[in-house]
Amino acid sequence: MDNALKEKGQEERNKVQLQQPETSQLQDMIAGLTFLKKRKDVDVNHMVVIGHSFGGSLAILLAEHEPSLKSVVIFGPAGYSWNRSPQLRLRLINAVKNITAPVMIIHAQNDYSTNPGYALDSVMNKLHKPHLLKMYGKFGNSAFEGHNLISLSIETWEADVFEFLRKNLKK
Amino acid sequence: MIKEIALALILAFCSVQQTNAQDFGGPDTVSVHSGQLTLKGLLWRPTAAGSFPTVIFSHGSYTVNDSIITPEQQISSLGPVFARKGYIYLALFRRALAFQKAKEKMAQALWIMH
Repeated sequence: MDNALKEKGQEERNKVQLQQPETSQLQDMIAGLTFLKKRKDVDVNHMVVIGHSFGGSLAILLAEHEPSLKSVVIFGPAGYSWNRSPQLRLRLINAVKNITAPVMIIHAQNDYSTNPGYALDSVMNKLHKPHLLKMYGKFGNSAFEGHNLISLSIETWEADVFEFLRKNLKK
Repeated sequence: MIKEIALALILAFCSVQQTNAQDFGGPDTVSVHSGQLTLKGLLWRPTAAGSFPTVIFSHGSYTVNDSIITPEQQISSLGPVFARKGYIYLALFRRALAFQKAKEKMAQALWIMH
């Protein structure tokens, strides 16, 4: 995507960014699920997708495609791209309308953008979809650090995420 | 007396941690077929017998400016967190996103996307 941005600008980046999670990247995630479902130690009735950033956007699309997933947890979904790509915003908003699994959305206040969380929360509120928006305080000294809360400050979200999973996986 | 109380509190805390935590193994390197491609993944799992709730992790796209956190750091830090709580955790390295630095780092770690 960075190559697309350098060569043809933001419009091309937006196009590539929307195309990849709908095709090859989604195919890879579906292959991952198929692999897991064949394992005897996997409880196929209690499967979860967790995604970060671009992977958060992809997690939303995967959950739309795979209603067998029981929960979705997304950290900083599309945090860097939300404000730059109207196409991505529209696609993700439409996707959450189709998701049946409970969705947990996580941002740090100093993420690149917290708009994805607020927008998706608003859509799911209107549709009475089960979901939880967690907006943690500022982490670190940069948007990069806030965006990478998932790895840089596990203690911030750990208890909340496991509580969310505990509640939704026992249903 | 204060020392004894402190020791008792520490032992009680450790006991709670052990109760909630599970023994786990991994990461195992696994191969996942996606069309004509074979992707690599890292999998952590509880060591107890039985079936377990399972997480598939969808990593981000790592830009050439990512110097603080790398794919392997991110995934290596998260896998044990979930396995310890009784989850199987698969971090699948999807096909290249054209981010050369991430690919190089993955290659260095032998997590090569074929």
